[in-house]
Amino acid sequence: MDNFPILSAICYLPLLGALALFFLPSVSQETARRVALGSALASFALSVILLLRFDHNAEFQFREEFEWLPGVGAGYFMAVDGIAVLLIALTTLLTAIAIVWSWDTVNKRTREYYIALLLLETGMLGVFMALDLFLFYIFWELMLIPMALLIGIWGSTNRVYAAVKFFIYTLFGSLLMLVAIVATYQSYFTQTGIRTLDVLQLAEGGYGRTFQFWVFAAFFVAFAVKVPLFPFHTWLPDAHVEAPTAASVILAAVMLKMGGYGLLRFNLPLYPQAARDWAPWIVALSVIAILYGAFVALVQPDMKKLIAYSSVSHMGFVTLGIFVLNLQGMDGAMMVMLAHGFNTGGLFLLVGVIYERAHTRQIAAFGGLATRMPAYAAYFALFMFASIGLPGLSGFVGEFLVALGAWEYNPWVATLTFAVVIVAAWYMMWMFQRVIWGRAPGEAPDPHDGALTTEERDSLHKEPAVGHDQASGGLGHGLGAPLPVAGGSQLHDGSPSGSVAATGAAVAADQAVSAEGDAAHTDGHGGEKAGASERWPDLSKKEALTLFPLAFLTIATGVYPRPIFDIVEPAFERILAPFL
Amino acid sequence: MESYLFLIPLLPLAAFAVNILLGRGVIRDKAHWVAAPAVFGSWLLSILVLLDLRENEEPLRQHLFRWIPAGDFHVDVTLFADQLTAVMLLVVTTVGFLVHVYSVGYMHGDGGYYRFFSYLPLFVFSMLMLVLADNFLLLFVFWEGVGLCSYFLIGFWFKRRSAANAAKKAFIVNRIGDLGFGLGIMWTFWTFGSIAFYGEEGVFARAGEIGTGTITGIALLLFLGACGKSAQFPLHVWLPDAMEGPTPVSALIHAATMVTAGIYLVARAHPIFEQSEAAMLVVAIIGAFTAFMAATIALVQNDIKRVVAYSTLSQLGYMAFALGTGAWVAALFHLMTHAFFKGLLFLGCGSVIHGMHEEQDIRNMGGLRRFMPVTTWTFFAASLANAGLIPFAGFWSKDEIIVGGWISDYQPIGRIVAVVGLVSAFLTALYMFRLFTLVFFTRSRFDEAHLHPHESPPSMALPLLALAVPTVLIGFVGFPPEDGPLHHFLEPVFADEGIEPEGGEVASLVAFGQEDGHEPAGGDEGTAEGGATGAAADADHAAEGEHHVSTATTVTFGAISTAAALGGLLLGVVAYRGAGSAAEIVARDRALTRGLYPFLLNKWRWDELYGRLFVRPLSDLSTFLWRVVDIGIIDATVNGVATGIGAFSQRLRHVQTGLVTNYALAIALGMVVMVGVYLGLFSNLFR
Repeated sequence: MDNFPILSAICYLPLLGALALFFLPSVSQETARRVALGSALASFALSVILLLRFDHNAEFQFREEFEWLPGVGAGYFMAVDGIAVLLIALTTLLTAIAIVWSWDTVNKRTREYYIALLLLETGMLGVFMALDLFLFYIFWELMLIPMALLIGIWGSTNRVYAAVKFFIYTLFGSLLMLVAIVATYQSYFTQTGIRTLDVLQLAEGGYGRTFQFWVFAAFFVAFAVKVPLFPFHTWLPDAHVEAPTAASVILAAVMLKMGGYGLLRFNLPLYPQAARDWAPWIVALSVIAILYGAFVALVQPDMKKLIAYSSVSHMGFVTLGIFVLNLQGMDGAMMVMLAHGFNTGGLFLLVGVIYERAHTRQIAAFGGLATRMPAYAAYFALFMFASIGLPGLSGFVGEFLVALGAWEYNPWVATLTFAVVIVAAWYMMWMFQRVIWGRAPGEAPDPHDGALTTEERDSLHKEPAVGHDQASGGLGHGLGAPLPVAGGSQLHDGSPSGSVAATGAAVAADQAVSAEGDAAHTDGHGGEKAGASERWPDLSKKEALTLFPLAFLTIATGVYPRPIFDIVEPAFERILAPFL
Repeated sequence: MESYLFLIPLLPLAAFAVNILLGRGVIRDKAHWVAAPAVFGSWLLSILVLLDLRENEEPLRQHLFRWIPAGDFHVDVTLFADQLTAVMLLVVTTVGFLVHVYSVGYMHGDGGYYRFFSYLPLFVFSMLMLVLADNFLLLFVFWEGVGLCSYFLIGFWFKRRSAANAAKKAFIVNRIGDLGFGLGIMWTFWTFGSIAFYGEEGVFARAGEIGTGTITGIALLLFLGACGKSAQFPLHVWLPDAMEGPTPVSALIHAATMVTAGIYLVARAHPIFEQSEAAMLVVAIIGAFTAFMAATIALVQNDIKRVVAYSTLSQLGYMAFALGTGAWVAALFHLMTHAFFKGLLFLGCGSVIHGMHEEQDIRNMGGLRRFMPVTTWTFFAASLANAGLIPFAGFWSKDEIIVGGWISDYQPIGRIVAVVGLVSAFLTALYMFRLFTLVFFTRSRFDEAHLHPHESPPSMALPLLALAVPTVLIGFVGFPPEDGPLHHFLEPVFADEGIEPEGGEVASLVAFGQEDGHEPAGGDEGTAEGGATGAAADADHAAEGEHHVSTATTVTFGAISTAAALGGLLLGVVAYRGAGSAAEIVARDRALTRGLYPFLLNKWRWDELYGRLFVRPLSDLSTFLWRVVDIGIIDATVNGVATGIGAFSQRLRHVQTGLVTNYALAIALGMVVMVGVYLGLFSNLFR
């Protein structure tokens, strides 16, 4: 068992699935789904085993080292430390979730879709495992193509533009990285006469300060695009908005983490001097990203764009936490990466849920979902609060630790950073209020609403079903009460008048709302907005199945994050050693 | 007892879990059978804790698990109960339980019944953990936790836009405070290397070793947090709006417990605050200002809940200035009495609103004593307590605060805030009895043919009666003043003495007395009482020199504040007696407040100011960043580069004409150029 190449197994199981699908051009959609899910789940299961068998120390473990291109010095070298192990588990979990999510929602070119998804998974996993720069670069480029295809083929209206933008942006960074890799390789060769692309070995080299400065910059741009750090972020909103839900989830939850991962794995160990030289600039950009992303999110009319900009803000915490160069900051950065994976992944899934029903993502198109879809609303609230850093959920631990680390670097940086908790609450709650709370389009306003427009007040007076006198005669509405009336009786929710009638109506309202009351509200109201009369079933079993693991993890890591610290801290101590 | 400490918060948490998971499908309208007994259990256990602590003064401690281990920064989930905690536990569970019972009646038939009885125990859980926390970050966790419950409960009737707005506003304004609190914790950590309160690594024991600048900074940041949660100026604007929530919520969260968390925080961190005179002064001034400002606003509000809400603000201001003058026990004493009588007031409001079928405007009430006697007389007791009339609970605690300010070590601010406190006490009695008169006395200003007010059902009336008992009697735990059972009980917590008192400024004493005489510009009664106040202040002159409160001072101040309260009470009754119509009430409000009426009615216009100063500019900034910076500059640059390359390629394309002769010409010319360059550079043909 000890010689079992578990990393390769995890990495290539999805590839195997993809190949199987590729060579079976005539499989049914159902089979394609099963093959994809099977290989993804197998990969996930192995990554859980990996996580459990991982020794909590700073060593790179589960090494697989083979000669590959000895002339060049490139080897096949895969191994993981605490950082990689967690991100691998995150990747396999989210890919499996993405596949379950796509089950009913993707019907166009299903086989090709899953091939792309599985190739993407292999690419991402390889990135987190490879310790040879050549191998790393191959995986890095490998994941780029399927993602661009996922956006460009299965995306929404403006998908090709978004896909090309995503591709070019990332490629631009990648090419700079390629130059940096070659330069480092060459420099090490000149110093030692050894040709190698082994990261651990290259880190032993002594590079001149100016050399480090520029090579670091080239690597940094590649990773900053991925993070994405301000001002390299403008591909993200487009990519997110156009991408199909599953791709959005993977993009946000996993691919953005590669930026942070790359900085930790390559920039800091290889070029420590440059890391110090660049740190003030990167810290400044991170703080800008944190605030800028939050403010821009505030005015987004599109839910996906809002979440995309909030990602810019959250990921700013990752780069900040890394470059304040202390343990609290780095621990925090790791927690933010994981929490962002759960929460933003969850939020994108939630947007996907209503997109499937309404075929729009505009915030203005929604309202009152809490009454129609209570379970949905509960998940929404959970991920919202996790995202804005409510203590006890995953987001808080990371963001607080990053700010704490930043305080040591400079209290003003910490102040600006932590100030984002205000703006984050603002943009998220405003969306929550408009989408989840409030009235469904066309629903009668509550007369106790202190913020009604004059128009709404007028409409109230025309509405015969509301008013105190009606309450006592409300029994007649009974169980089959149409929703406008039930909505009217909602005002008696607060009036425990003891009147049986009001009670009955209110209970009816609750039932109508929570169960099959949709039939009711198609009746009556003529002036309903479009979409209001469509059916709005609550979360389906599959949807709940995709959301539940993320919800569980966001609570679990918020309440008891200790295992994560135990896994990653030795690695961070190793990375930080040259800086202390 | 120590090993069972965890049960106190666990019971309500379990109730929350059960109700939120099973409430919609299974439990439905039985949800209170899960929630109320759980809170009752916590109440019993809290009493055990109290008894235990009275017997052995040693604090109880229970380590549960390590939450964050990030290098040197580690945070444990450890429960800690000393005497201060015990008082808070008792307040939270007592009011909490009674509010649960009350809500059975009040929320009866609501579509979200199970939701209500999920959030409510979740709140109780968070609040209990808040007071049981043994370090700053754990306290912060549940500080946000109670904010979360507050958010959901204010927005409970989420179909109302006003409720949703209020919930959001409450959370965001609180987050401003939380920013301060969080930064205060960071600063504490990097200063002390720990964030635990007591014990080996405890910061309090070492507070004296830190430089004044740092300790002042930490204290002020913590106080910013307290300002948010306890709704002190300038972060007070959320609390009145929070009245959008169901009334039991207002009673429990926005009067009795959550809003006192800020007071608790400062009291808990008193060893830090004591080290910084500047911070203490800020606390005192902010508190006194809030007490006064809110009292003036309460004078003219017409929503029954808003009057009481502004009263809460004002009373919290009292507590804050007690803290700022170092009168720690007095602040907690008032916190406790206030929890009972303000809880009662709010529940009374709820009973009125319920009995009036959702009417909240006092201009449409009147004469309700005929319909709801229990509500009337319990409300009366609470009004007297709030107004600070002897021997009701509020009298003892408020009086002690004012005396505490007067004799405090922090002069002359102590004197000033004491005088402001007296003025506010007068205003308090005035607005309370304006409210009481207009609601329960006077002629009914509603259509009695159509609207039939009724007394509330027993589940609501019983908690009113239950709360009336402490409202009348609880003041005696602080009797005799400065030397009551409460003071002795809390002694171990506040025993450590801070700064040496400096000699008080005596010179301006008489001037203050006179100033007080002129302050209550609210009518004839007030001025008369004010004269008495000035005289009494003179009498106190003699007793001044010593730090400890002399009996004379106590009695004098008791007399002054009673006089002020009585004056306000009488003015309130006289001024609004017989008001027969809504217009008449407004006219009398105007007569009483003169030119200030619009200013007070609009709540000093803070909302408008903040809107103009912060909300609008920040939204505009966001739009600017998005439209101009993001799309206009950054993305335009990216796309510009792309189109630039595209355009260049377009032009380059024309080279590819497809005519062989063109290519041949190009090849020939290229040859000539290359040969020329070669010869020019590498051969010596032309040299």
